[in-house]
Amino acid sequence: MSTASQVLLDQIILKDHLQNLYNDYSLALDQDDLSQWLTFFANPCLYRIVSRENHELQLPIAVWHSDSMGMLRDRVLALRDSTLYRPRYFRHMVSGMKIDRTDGEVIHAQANVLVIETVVDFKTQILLSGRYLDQIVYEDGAYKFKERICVYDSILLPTTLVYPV
Amino acid sequence: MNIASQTLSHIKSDYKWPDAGSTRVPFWVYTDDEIYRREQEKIFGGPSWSYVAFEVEIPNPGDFVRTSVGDRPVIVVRDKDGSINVIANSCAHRGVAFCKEARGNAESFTCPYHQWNYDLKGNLVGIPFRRGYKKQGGMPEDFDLSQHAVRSLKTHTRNGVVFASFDHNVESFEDYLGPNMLGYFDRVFDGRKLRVLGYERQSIDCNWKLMFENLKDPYHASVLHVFLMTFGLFRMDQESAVEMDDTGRHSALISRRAGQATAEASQEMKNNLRSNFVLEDPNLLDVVKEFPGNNSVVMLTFFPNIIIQQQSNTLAMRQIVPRSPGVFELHWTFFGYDDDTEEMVRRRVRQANLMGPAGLVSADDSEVLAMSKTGMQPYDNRQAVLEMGGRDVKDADHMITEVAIRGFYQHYKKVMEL
Repeated sequence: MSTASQVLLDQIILKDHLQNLYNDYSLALDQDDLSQWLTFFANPCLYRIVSRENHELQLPIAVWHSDSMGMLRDRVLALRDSTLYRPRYFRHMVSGMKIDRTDGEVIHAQANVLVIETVVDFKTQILLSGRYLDQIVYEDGAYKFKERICVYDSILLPTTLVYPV
Repeated sequence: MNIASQTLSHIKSDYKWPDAGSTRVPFWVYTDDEIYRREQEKIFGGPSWSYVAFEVEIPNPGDFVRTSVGDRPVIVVRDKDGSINVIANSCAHRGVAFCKEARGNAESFTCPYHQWNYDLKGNLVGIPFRRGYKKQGGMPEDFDLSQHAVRSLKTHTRNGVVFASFDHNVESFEDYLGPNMLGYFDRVFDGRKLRVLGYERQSIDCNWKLMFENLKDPYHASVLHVFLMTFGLFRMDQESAVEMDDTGRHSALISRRAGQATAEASQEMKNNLRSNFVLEDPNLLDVVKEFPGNNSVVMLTFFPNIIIQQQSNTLAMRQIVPRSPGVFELHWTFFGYDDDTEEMVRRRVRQANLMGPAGLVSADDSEVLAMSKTGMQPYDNRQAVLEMGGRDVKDADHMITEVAIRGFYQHYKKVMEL
């Protein structure tokens, strides 16, 4: 195989790996499998859900900010054991994944995300629409998020955002 | 009209408050359209001071931010001489909300519909085709621009925080708060320059007053908020107090952080206390003392629209914006101080996980409020019972009380003439 073909093939394989990561991540959340969801993060990691307003103004506050694996696990435990919320279901629509560049071991990628929420007894609504800004590394035999920042477009969130997206 | 709906409208048109005074709150104050309209006029449009912005959000002449007083849109703008004006975002001509950017800098404001132009005080300074065109049309000869300014509000700034009132005869801000509440205000806003750390906004399906009451209700915090209780951030067995101004409309919930819960307290909280819950990363609650005195939490509610949150090192203004009897928005402005170290900023960002629409604590409240609406609306001939801690309206040196909600309704009834 020519060098050019090999490079192209490597890119296709990488994109396929990342697409699987994105799909499996969404599936874990849609199936309410938060222990599985935790496995998609590298250690250490940074996970944030932040409004477009704060992101563009470069303000540090996020509606969800976990800057260690321990903080992520603590939030999952709190969600299971201490937070009060009405039962609900989610569907994550993630599209247009794009690899921006590779920086040494770190792959920079982004994608659109639409999260649709159904609070039991109520009409299905859009929880948020936005963009994932990701840094991905290969760790312990799998691609994982070293950093995942979800920047959502809307100013207003409906009532609560109790689950990760 | 059938008989059933006649009966219902009869009950509502009476608006008779239950005999038991402020120990009872009729559910129709949370559901009724006429009550909502009256609140906008008498409370938010009346002699009250509403929080609108921080000075640091508009540092330079022409800088502005959009916000609301009650459900009415306003613009907070720094004038050319450095003073601050608050004007209605509603054109004097046909009512268009002419300012569409959330923030920015302007020489003047121009309504896009017919190009009516206003200076930064809201004075009307120009109208296209005022004299018509080729002797046709135009405004009448006696049309006086000075009579068509956009509405301007009275403003007051204290230690970097801007308040506004639609009623220009409102008492002074200092008299309005009273000495005790003013002291708590100055504890957080001590004159140091502020730094905005970020905004969060959520729309909650519930009447706005239930949010205001939520921060006047320390009783729920000791049973609903498992996270706060478990980590001793706010708990019934801590040294605490509920204090009010003379009218009862403003209040402060005060608490000092404690360690392990006592046996008696644990027994009362046993359904919700998680004694085996240990944080894997304690950095989330790496609290440092930063204010004089021993109080670790002071939650202020200033009538009618603002909650000032100081829970450990997370500081925020929570501005209540009513939208309809059954919907309000909560606008959070998280802040710190200009002289905060990077470590302090990081601490505030981590602790902000407790608050906001995804908050480890606040999400409980938003959800319970939405559940309140579901249970209240169809039973609007019923009333809430507020007898925890007695039936009076007096400061308390504990938190097993609903006294601050009674204080609020004592004032509310008066203002609303109910």
